[in-house]
Amino acid sequence: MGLRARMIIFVVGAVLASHLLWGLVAVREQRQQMRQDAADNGHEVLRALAAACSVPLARRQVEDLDAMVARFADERNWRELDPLEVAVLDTEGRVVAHTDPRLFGDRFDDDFSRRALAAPVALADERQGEDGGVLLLSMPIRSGLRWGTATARLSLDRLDRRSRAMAVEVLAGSVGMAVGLAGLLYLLLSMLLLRPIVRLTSAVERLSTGRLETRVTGPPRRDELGRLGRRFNEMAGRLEEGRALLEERVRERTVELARANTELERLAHTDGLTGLDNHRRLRERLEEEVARAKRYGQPCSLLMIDVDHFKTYNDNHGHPAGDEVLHRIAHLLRQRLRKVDVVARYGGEEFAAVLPSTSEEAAVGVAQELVTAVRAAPFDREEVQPGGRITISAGVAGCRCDEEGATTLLARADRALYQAKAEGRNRVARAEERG
Amino acid sequence: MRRMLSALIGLALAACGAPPAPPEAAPPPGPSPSQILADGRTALEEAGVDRIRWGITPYLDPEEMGARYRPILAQVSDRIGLPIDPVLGRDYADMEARAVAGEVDVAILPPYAYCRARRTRPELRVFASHVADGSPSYGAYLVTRDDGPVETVEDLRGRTFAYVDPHSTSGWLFPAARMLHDGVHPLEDVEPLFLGTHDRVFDAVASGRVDAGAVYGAALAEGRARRGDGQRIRVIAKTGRIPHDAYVVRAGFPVEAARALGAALAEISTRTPEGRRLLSSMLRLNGFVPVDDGHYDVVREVDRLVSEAVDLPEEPGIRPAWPGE
Repeated sequence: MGLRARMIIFVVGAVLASHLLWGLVAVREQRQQMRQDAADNGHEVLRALAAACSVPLARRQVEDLDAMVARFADERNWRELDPLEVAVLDTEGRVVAHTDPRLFGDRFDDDFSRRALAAPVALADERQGEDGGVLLLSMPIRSGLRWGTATARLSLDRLDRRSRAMAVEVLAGSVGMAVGLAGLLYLLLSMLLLRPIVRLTSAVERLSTGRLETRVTGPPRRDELGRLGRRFNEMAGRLEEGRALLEERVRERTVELARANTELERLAHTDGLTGLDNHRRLRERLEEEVARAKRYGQPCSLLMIDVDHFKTYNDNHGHPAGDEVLHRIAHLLRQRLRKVDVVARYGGEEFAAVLPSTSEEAAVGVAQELVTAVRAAPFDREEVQPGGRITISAGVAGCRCDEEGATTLLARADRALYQAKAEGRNRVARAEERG
Repeated sequence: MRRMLSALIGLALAACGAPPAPPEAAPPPGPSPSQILADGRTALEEAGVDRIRWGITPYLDPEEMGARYRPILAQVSDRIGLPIDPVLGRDYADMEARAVAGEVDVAILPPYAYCRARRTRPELRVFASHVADGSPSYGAYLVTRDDGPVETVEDLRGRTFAYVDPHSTSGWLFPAARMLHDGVHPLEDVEPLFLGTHDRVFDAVASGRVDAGAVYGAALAEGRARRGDGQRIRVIAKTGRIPHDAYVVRAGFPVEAARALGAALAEISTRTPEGRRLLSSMLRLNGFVPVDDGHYDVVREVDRLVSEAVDLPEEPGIRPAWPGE
C-alpha cells in the first residue's frame, strides 16, 4: 500500500472516528438534556395545576378540578410530551379529578403514586411502557396543609422521535463535516508532506538510473524535507562532478592509448633502421596487391633487391657504417619509386618493392633505373668494395596472376635475384617463365 | 502556511460546536384573518344577506341569555359589517327545529341538539365552538345530598333521579350513559324526573326533593355559590367530557361567511383586555375556536350507546317546576 493510500485511510479514519465519537456524545447529551428540559417543563405545568387546584380540592369542588385538569391536559402545555393522563389525587390517593372522568373515586395504588403521596417534593420517574418511554411526574398540592397530589403520565414518544431525528441529523452532519475536514486535511498533508516526498522519491529513482543531473525542485522549505531535498541536490551535484572528472580522465587516457596504438602499429609495420615497411608489412601488401591484380586483371610486379658484397663493407667499416649504407639505399629507393609502390626492407641487406599496375617489362626498366641510381650515388668509403662502388642486384618477377599467389611470386623474384647475383651482380635479372 | 493552519483549526472548532438546530416550525399557511373577514363580507353581499338572524338556546332565562350574548354579537356584527338579530328559542327543541328549518342563519346548539339536527339536515355546518373554564369540553355530574344514603351509581336503584331534558347532552344523554356503564338503567332502575333546567335539578337535589340528579359543571359551581345549602352537594360520578355548544350555519349560508364568523369569534378571547370586557357577562367563557363536525363524534357515540339501551318515550313530560311549588 502506498503512502498516499495509507494517508487517506489514516486521515479519513481518524477524523471520521473522532467526529462520530463526538457526534455520539453530543447526541447522548442532547437526548438527556431534552428529557431533562421536558421533565422540568412538565413540573412547571404541574406546579401551576397544583396551585390552581388547592382551593377547589379543599372545598371538594370537583367540577372546578375537572375543568382545571381538562385545561392543563391540553397537549400544547407539555411541549413535546403527550399527556396520557393528568390526575388530582387526594391525600388517600383517591382520584378526585382525572382526564378520564370514569376513574373518579378510584384509588391509585401503584408504586409511583404511593411514593408521590408520601413525598413532600416533586418527583419524576421514567418507565419503558409498551408503546415507548413514559415520563411520570408528581407535584404536591398544598395550601397551608397538604391537600393532595397532582400527577401526570406523559408519553416520551414524540420527544424520542424528535431526538432520534436530531441524532440522525447530528450524526449525518458530523460525518459530512468529517469527510470535508478529512478532505481538507488530506489536501494539506498532501501539499505539506506527500508531494515533497513523492518529488524526492522520483528524484532518487531518476538518480538511481544514472541521471545524475536530477535535482529536487519546488518552493524552498525550511523544514526537514527541505533539508533532505537540499542534501539530495548537493549529493547529486557531487556525484555529477565526480563522474565528469572521471569521464575527462578516461577521454585523456583513450587519446593517449590511441596514439600509442598508432605508434605501435607503425612500429609493427616499419623497419626500424630504414623507416621502410618491414618484412611482415611487405607480405601483407603483396598479398593485397596480388589479390587486387587478380580481381581487376591488371599486371603487378615484384622487385627483390640485394646490396652487393655488403658483408665486405660491414667487415671493413663496422656495422654502424653498414647501417648508414642501408639507410641511404632505402632513401634512394623510396625517392625513385612511386607513392603507390610498396618499398620494404626484406631482411639483412635485402629490399623488396611491389609495383602495382606495372608489367614485368616495365618493372625491369624500373629496376634498371634503381641499379643505375645506386651505382651512381656516392657512399662513404665505398672504394674498398669490389668494383670500387656500392651496387645492388635486382630480380624482377611479373605476377602471372591467373595461376600463382604471392609466395610463388616471391620465390620467382628471389630466384631472379640469385640469377642476377650469379651473373655478376650490379644488374637486373628477370624471372624465368617457369618457376 | 500559518494562515492555512489557523483556518483549519477554526473549521475544526466550528465542527465541534453546537449541532445543527432543527428547523423552526413554520406557521400554517393560509389566508390572514382580515382576508377571511373580507371574503366573508363579499360572500354575504353576493348571497344577498343583509341581516343575520342568530339563534340562541336558552339555558337560562331567555332575556338573561339575550343580554349576556349582546356584547359578543355586537362585536361580530361590527367585524362582519351586517346587523345581527338575536333570536331566542323557547327551549332546546325549539332552537333545534328552527336551525333545521333554516329560520335562523346562525344557531348556537347544544352538542346533542346539533347531532340530532344534522342527522335531519346534513347541510348544517358547524364552524365554531367555545372554550369555557379553559377547556373546549365540560363535564356533567351525578350528584346527591351530602347526608343522603347514595354512595355509588348502583345505590341509585329505586331512587328518584332528576334529569334536565331528554334533549339535553349533560342533563340526560351523558348521565344516562354513565349510569348504563355501571349497569343502572336510567329510566327503569330509577324513578326519573325531567325538570327542564340544570338549576332546577340542582335545587331539587340540594333541597332533598329528589335523591339524586344530573347537572353540568357550571350549574354545579353556580348552584354551590347561589344556595346556602349548595355546599352540601356531593358528586357520585362524573360523565365523560362533552364538547361545548356547536355554532352552526343554516343550509345555503355561504361557506366563506361561516368562516368569517368563526374568525370574528376567534378574535374574542380572555387573553386580551377587550376580549375580557366582551366576555365579562359570559361566566366561564374564555373564547372561541374553529371546529368541524368531527368534534362532536363523541356525542354521537354516546347517543348510540344510550339509544341501544333506552327507549325514550316521545314526550317524557317535562315538569318545569317542582309539583306543588
